Amino acid sequence: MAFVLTLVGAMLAVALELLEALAIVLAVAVSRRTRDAVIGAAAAVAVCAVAGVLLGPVLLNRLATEPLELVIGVALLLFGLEWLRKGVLRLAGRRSRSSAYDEYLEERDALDAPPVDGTDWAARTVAFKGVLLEGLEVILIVTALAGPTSARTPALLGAGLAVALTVAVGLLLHRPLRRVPEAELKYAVGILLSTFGTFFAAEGLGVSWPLDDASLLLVAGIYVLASQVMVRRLRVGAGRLAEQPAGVA
Amino acid sequence: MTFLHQLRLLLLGETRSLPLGVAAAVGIAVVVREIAGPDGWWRHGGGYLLLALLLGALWLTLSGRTSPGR
Repeated sequence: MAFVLTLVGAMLAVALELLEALAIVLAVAVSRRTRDAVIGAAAAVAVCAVAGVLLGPVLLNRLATEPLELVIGVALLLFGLEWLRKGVLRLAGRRSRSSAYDEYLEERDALDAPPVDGTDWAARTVAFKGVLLEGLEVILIVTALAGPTSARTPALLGAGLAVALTVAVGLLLHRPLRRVPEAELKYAVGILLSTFGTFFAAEGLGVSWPLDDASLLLVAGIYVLASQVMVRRLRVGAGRLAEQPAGVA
Repeated sequence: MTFLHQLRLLLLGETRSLPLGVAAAVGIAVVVREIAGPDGWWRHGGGYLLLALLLGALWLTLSGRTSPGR
């Protein structure tokens, strides 16, 4: 149970982050030069790899089990509840739907024509920054999910599958970006990360979940129910705001 | 938007209220555990208390927002 949930959570979270990075790299490649986009992205991947190699062992090997679980739980909660907050707002119509394709169009429009000759540092910097920020989030999420010894295999396997999936999407160019239901997937990732965060944080505080790993399903179900209630309440609130005469809202 | 600002958004999110809410929920859970004792009802029921506190923090963050945003 925990194996499958960890694998799915890591795969979805990493795939969505990498899709956003891919959108930026594609925009740079189309607007400027592919070579500069790839150089910028490759430099960011190298920095992220170094950060992953340094962060993982330091975080995972130097803390005792309970404090580690609490640290991992809080880290997952910060990511998960933020994704869930945005997901609830999107499903309630209070926030524009997330789209890597829109991000691709915005980045492409923001970039001017490439310089006639010489190194295109602006293009490289945009690709580097975009991949670095998304990559750091990937490393933090995967490191946190892989924290408990039993979760390392599914977390790393899920991340590996996500990388393969995103590379395949990248090879098929940008059209598939339009078809990804990002808002719903990000909401689902928010539920999963918040569930794991709550589970680990509670264990870090000495809780022994009555159903062990099966409690993950119960906690996830409570998050789904509660967040759907929040979506409905916010939709009603949005409707009331829209019905009020001008100047009142 | 500066790189540092984007990094802060990455680590703490777009709002201050959510990380503060998470900190408050965990802090209250620690205090309750100390009062209840680690081997009392906390051992099997503390997780659900923490879950309720976190959902409360999420709802407070969401209910503070009234206008549509990006």
